[in-house]
Amino acid sequence: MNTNFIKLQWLRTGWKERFRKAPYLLAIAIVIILMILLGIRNPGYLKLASLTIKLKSWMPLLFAAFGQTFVILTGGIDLSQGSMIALVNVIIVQVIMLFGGSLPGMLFAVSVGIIVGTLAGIINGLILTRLRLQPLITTYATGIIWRGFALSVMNEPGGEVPMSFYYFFSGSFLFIPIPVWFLSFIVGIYLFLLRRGAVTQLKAIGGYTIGAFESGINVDRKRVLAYGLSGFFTALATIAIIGETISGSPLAGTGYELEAISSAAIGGASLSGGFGSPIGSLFGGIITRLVNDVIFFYGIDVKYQQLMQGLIIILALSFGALLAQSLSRSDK
Amino acid sequence: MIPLLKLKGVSKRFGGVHALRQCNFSLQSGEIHFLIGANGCGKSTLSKIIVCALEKDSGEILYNGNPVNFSNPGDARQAGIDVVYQELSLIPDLSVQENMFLGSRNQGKLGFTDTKAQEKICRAALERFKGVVSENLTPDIPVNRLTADERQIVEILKVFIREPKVIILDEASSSLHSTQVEILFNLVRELKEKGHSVIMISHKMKELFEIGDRATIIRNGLTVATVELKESSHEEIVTHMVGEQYFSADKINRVPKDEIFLTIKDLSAGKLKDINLTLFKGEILGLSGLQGQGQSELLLTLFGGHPEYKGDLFLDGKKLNLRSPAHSVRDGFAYISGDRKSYGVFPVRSILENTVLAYLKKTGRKFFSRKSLRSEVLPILERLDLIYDNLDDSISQLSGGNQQKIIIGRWLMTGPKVILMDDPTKGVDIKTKEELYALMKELCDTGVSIIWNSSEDQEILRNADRVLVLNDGWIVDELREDRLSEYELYKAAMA
Ligand SMILES: Nc1ncnc2c1ncn2[C@@H]1O[C@H](COP(=O)(O)OP(=O)(O)OP(=O)(O)O)[C@@H](O)[C@H]1O
Ligand SMILES: [Mg+2]
Repeated sequence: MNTNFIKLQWLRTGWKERFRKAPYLLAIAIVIILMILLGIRNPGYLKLASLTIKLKSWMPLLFAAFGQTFVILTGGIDLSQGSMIALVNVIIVQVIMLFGGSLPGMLFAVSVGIIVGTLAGIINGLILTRLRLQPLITTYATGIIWRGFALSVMNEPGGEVPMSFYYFFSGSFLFIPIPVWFLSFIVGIYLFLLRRGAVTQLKAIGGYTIGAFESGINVDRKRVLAYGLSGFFTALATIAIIGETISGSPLAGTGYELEAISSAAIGGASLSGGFGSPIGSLFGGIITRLVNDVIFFYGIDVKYQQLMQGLIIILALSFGALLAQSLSRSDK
Repeated sequence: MIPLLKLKGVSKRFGGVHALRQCNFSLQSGEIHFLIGANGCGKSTLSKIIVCALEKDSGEILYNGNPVNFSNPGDARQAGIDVVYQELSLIPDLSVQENMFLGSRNQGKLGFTDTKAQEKICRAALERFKGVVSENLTPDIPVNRLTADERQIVEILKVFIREPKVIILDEASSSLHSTQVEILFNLVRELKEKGHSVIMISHKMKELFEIGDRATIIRNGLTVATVELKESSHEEIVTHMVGEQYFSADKINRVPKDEIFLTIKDLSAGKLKDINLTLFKGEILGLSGLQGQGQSELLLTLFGGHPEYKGDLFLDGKKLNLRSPAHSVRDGFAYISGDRKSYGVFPVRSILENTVLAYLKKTGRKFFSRKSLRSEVLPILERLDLIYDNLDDSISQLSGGNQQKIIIGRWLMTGPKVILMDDPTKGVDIKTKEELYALMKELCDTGVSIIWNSSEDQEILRNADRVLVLNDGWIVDELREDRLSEYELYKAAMA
């Protein structure tokens, strides 16, 4: 074996190792490609100011995908996410209006919203683990319930939130835009969980549940934690949505769960559990949004927009699948 | 002296199967206590019940004299009881290090993981097995890239780094090479010296007398006897196990037909170098030597696992092209591996599905009725003496040995000409082993030939007609008739 060959081999395995450790590298690569495509067509897109505005509008999906990933890692799924957004949305808006739009009132409303979202997630988890039901059907059913609650809190779109809510999200603090603060906050939570070993435990549950149980992990409690986290981040997503719409709607969030799940998958998470990263889902979410913009800026006929969107998602997913395949082939 | 661990009248049912009826067992501090019994007698079930990986139906468990009520294996670990599981508890996608520290609480300050400290412990632990595992085995490699023996070692170390008061080793040595077993035994002895206790489950009598203090024998879910190993004998234990006087069969010299069946000329593939051999019709040809000298590779090559091989092969006068397992199956090969988890069992799927798989493929049948399949499967399973409740039960519910029987049944159904066996008796109890040897001979009498790799020198010397000794990919010796002895085998293997 000559040395050149060995070097080549090293380079190749080096890349594979890196992908294995950070399954979201592919998503980052796609983000860069899409950004370049957009930059070619419309150089203004890549300006900092424009990107900040974009980031603000992406936030809801990013948070939802981020939260969904914790559940997906355990091999579960949270289909109630969209309706949870509606429930938290109408509750926050009602509470804000109750306090006449005052600042303390808004803070209180946001806290209530976060608690409601987290609780809804925990309830999902408790039902699943205590009654030993399938995540798919259970969260589908609880989703209907959340939507029902939302309708009873506010039966049609409406309500009014002070514009300051909107300006807050467009503003910045210490020269750094608020959306960036928010993203750093959720990444911080992720790092905290990672260092506590919780993320590894969730992956273990998704990878081989019996093994995780036999290794001494309290599987039920950790699964409840995952659904609780999903609820928490969904509530954050809702707050970001209110920052855009500054009103309430019991129909908010429709279809969000599927967008979040597909973003997670694009970001490298395995839907059968055990593999992936919430960070990857952030990039997956960005891709989902960028694709729309690429279609828009390249002037593709509205008729074909949905078609293109679907195709690009499939493309992104199959890249991931091919990569995973070649990784596992090198294992043999 | 109160025993460290005591089980009183423990019982457990799985649907219609009474896995444990009345188990009484006591473990002293600082002893190495074996659990012995046939496949499916309830050994693994008992160990899982001790740590509450399974809930018992009735009975009582005392630890240090106090009744315990763990609610999951995590509690048992806190109390100092840990299991090396027969089917392993490793998570495939996680790294060796992550697996080793999975579920432990005190991994760093304030509940944060200290990856540096973990890595140090992990490396020190792996160091114990240095030289007998590949360089590949490092803390950050994902477990799914390890070989079966390396995974077993990680599962063992995962428990040993915690130094529990009570360790249960459920067939931990069955997929290890003899040099690795030696290191495992050293670890066990060290713990014993520190006053910890070890419960070991094994089907290898040699190990039992090598390091065991006492043994409890289980038959059909009942603990029938506990013996002091110093005062006991092989025969006594086996008699307890099977419930009747038992003598292992004497070696009969069979005379295979003088008809050449398979010829291999100058075969090279992977590690294998210039393999030349002939296999006679109705012959049991053993492959031996130190483990990992190319025996498994030879079998895999014949089964189409090395399509880039060089050399010529003829079966029954016909030239072979070993391009893929599908080709090999069509040519009349069957492959039974002892590593049934990787190469045999489709977990969760039913017994029926697991049995008919290769048969359907080989016959190319696209349509069939369940009824006709059942009627074809039943005689095969009967022939193998399989103990089961229902054909539609999941194969994962069966004990390890019974799962292996299903894999054998799967290939018998295809009516093979040459059966390739790669350590098929791994995790199989003594009685079933003898039945398997008898079955092999019976098959050979009907004209099938067998190539058999075994890690147990005794069994292959007693049951093969001829043994080829491999060393570093070469065939270095051929033992037959009166040269079939351990002395000759070691001499050739070590050369
Ligand atoms: N989860 C399960 N569901 C149903 N039956 C089971 C389950 N686990 C074990 N059994 C049954 O309980 C009996 C005892 O199984 P166990 O695994 O304890 O045997 P064992 O003594 O460990 O055998 P081996 O030596 O083959 O490992 C077997 O008949 C098996 O089929
Ligand atoms: Mg067992």
